[in-house]
Amino acid sequence: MSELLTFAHLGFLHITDPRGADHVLFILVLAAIYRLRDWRQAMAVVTAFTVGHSVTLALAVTGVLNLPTALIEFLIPVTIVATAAENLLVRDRAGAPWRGRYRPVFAGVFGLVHGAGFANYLRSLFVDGVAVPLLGFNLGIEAGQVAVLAAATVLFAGLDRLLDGLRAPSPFRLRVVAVSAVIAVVAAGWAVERSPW
Amino acid sequence: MRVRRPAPRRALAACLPALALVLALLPRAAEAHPIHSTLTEIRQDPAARALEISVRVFADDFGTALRRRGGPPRSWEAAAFAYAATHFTVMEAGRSLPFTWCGVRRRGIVLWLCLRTSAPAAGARLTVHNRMHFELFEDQVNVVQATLGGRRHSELFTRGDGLKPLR
Repeated sequence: MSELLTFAHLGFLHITDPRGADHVLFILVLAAIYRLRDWRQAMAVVTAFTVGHSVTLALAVTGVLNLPTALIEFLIPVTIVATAAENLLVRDRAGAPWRGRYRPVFAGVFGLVHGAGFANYLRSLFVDGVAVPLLGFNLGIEAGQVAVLAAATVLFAGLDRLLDGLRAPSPFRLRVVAVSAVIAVVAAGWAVERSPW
Repeated sequence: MRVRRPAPRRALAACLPALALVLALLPRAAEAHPIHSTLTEIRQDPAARALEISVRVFADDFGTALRRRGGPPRSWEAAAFAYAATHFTVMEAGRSLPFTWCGVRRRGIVLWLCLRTSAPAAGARLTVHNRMHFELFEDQVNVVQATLGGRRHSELFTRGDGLKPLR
């Protein structure tokens, strides 16, 4: 196997591992406000997230940036709670600032935090020749995120149908609220447990 | 004419089991997302007619593996070598190559374990396996990179993998 594929495989396994739910949860909460027809916007925010964490990962692995692990591990669930809160608070996206098009920007900014989360581990292993492993790892992470996004889209579509079948008022809004609230509670618990203070 | 929908209570009640299931499946502890991985470099040392193998392991994971393994009392390095030699395999023509220990050094949170074995015959087909820490973590991933005859090969091992050829 080539070095690029090996590290792409490593990145894919890393992001899709259910035991490391923090990144998966972030993708779910980002995707919670989209329907199947909004796939372009969903892809845009997930790709912005990848760009963000690729930047910090590259800076940290090459030693340019050195961030305290405890603080980063605390900030990761905080980004999840913040995204869930935005889902809950903004009902009318067309009436939101910049018509809600700021989401890729904050996905990118929050991606900076998530990238720093695993950078400390990778920096320890990649001592020499980091370019190809780093590129492969990021490609694998992007592929893993697209897989999670695809699974989430199917899951959310099923939930929408279920709620519609139950004649729930505003089934889509109910889905957004239910998914975001559950994720916010879980992530808030993690933030409290990981608090460095 | 608008269809009158019932109150949201019924829909919410139907959602509760699904949400409870999601919560049950999520990790309860505040697990950060550590990478359970090792990185092994295999290089030829033509002067010594040997293969030099450098295994980078996270010190905390490796310490846990040694403690769990137990066994007769011996020095830390002897225990480290015994673990490495039984969990990492290089085979040439179906024969397992014996290792010698060439030391360990620490760089931050990572230990670099050094193993040596005799150089294979020119053109020999080597197979390799790295089972390190599979007994500790279900998500353990071991990367093995070899530079042999001027060519670079990479392999990735997860639980359940067997020997893989270095091509």
